[in-house]
Amino acid sequence: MRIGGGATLALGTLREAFRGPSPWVFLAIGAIAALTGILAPSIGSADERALLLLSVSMVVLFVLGGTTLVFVSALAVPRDLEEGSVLTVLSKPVPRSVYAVGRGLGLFVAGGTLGLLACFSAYVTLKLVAPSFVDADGMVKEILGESQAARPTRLIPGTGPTPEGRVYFLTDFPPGIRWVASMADPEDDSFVKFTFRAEDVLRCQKGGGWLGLEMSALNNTLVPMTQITPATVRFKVIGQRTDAPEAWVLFQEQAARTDLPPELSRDLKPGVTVEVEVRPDGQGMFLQADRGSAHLALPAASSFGVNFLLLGLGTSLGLAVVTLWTFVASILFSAKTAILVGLAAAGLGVARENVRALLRLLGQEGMVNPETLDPLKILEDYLTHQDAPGGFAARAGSVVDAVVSAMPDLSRFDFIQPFAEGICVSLPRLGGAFLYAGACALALFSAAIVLMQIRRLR
Amino acid sequence: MTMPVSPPPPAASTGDGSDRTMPRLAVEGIRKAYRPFLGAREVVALQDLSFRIEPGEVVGLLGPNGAGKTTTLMLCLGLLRPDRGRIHLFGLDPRRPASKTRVGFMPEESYFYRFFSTPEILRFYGKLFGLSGKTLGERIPALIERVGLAHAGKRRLRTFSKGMLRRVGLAQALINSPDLVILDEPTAGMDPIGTREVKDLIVELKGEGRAVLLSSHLLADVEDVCDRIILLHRGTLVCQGEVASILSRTAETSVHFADLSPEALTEVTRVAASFGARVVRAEPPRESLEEFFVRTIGQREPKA
Repeated sequence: MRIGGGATLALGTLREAFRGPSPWVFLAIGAIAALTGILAPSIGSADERALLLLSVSMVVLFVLGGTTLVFVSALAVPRDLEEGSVLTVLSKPVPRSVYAVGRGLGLFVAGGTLGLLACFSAYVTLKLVAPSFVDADGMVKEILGESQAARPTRLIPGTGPTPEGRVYFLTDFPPGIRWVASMADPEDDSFVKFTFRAEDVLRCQKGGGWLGLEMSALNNTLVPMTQITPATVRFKVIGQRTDAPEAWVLFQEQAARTDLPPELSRDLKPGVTVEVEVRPDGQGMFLQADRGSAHLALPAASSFGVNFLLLGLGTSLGLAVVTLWTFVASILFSAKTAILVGLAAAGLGVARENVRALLRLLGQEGMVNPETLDPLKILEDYLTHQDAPGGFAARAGSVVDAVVSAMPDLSRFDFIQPFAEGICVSLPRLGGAFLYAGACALALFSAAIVLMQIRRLR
Repeated sequence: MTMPVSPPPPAASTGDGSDRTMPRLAVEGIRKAYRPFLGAREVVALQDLSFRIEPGEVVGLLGPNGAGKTTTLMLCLGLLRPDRGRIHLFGLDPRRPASKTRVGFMPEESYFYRFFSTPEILRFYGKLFGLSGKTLGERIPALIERVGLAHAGKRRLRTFSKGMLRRVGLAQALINSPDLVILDEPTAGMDPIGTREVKDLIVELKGEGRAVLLSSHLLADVEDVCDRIILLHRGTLVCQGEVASILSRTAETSVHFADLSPEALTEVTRVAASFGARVVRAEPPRESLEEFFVRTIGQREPKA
């Protein structure tokens, strides 16, 4: 078997994909997706609009790109057969299995690369049409502008417990702005201790203020948001220190309306150093990026580019998997069946995330328990249960679990929350779902190759 | 085709003396039937077919539609498996990829990537044979020149006419400098000049010692270039043999005169009759329409 033949076929398929109209089609898809996101109904705060824009853009990109790739990959082999092209290749010293693997690999890479191209197009479109969403500083200014119009806001830099950490407090957070706090050890549920100046603490309103910690040594690190409540933050005076005059003034201004625990209010005076224990309350996570320039760690604004990159990678991977999945189906069955399978795979991925998001919303309202109603979860539990009929499903499930557990856990990037009354998609999780689907597709692909080899040897 | 700019590379060889005399293709008693789904009655495509192709031989595979020509080619290339009988391609089972390293195949429809240019598609097919970049760098320009596509430059295949695509198909069949060339309807879609060039090329290949198996509906083409023909009908072998012996009419003799006057013709007829022979037809010889077309259009074509 000449392995190089497979690589030649894969490379040829990839080059062909980029020679034809496909790149232009996907550039257009990316632009359409971005414009659709921009035109999506404006709800919530600025950062929520940014999240909506991201999600809608990616969903539109995935649906349009996925549908296109499903048809392209489903018709690849039938077209080769119909035109006799496959005879030209197989008349060379190229086994059928190498032909299938080469074409499949080429289509897989082409699907992913075209997806990335569409993402690039979407990003450029956003940059041109709605630069405030893309530019972190612009986003910050926009949000602060909205806030300043309603209520003056000042940022006070604080000091952290380590040279790498800096603490910021904000008395009144503008709508939509979420602050970040750092966890010393994500696995540790205990409180994390930091020391702050009293006047900074006083400016944090109980129940309404947010505590933020910027760890300059951490790049692109997931940090939990923490709202200051008695359950999550404990204050304790541990000493005194000298403060700048302006801090004192601020203290005087804020002390009157500080709603902190009585014992803390009594002890808090300018120059007092307090120890604050922060326990992450798990209200959300996001990827914090661009540490050097953004003073406000906004979930959508300061990390828009990184979020976009992550979502784009996940979406492109999903497109590649759908392409491969459809290609395998076109070999095993027919073009029509492959189209149905491909569209079903893509649709299932989107639908599953929508169902989960909806159930999550319903669960938050206390109406249902999402874990008990997710049909796919029920099916998964059933198939992987030790008592499942045949037993093989349990073992297969274990294998799949092992494969999935060995993959990068994209669910950690679950920073997109349900919104827009249930019409929401957690694309990082979608990426995870497609990784799972990819493992299944690879297993199917391997089985198909084995079947073809058996037929060849017969 | 135009005359080759450079001689084709030497044919691949095993190196021992037996290779020169070993049949390029040997088919022994093969049978092939297609079995429709769900137990419907099978359709016999080929029945007890045997033939051989020797080095330097041009063999024509003839037959009406459904005779089994394409099935025969697929079997010879290992793309189908015979139900019975054996096929040896250079002494190997054609289903083994190694047996195809010395075979060039031009299917009736080919051309894998329509957005490639001719050099790119030839490089692609050459890579499938594992040919080195240096070899391809030398071989591709010569092949393009040989099949008359030098004027196409780096145009993409999707802009080619059908005749030009056939030339690309022919070039890819020769990319590995094969010892056996299998051509399926090589002149389909070509104009008379292109047809003549393909036939000239086949003769050139024969002169280089390569064997050619040619499947065509165009009987005149087969007659012009083939040493032997294999005639199939409904999957069975009707006849095979040398073209000259099959088509010769032993009861008649053809004599061509130049500047024969009517009086002389009368005298020739009288002399023939005195020997018991009769003149069946006496008329000025005509050139074929293909010869006329090639001569007339060829004069107006720019020199290559």
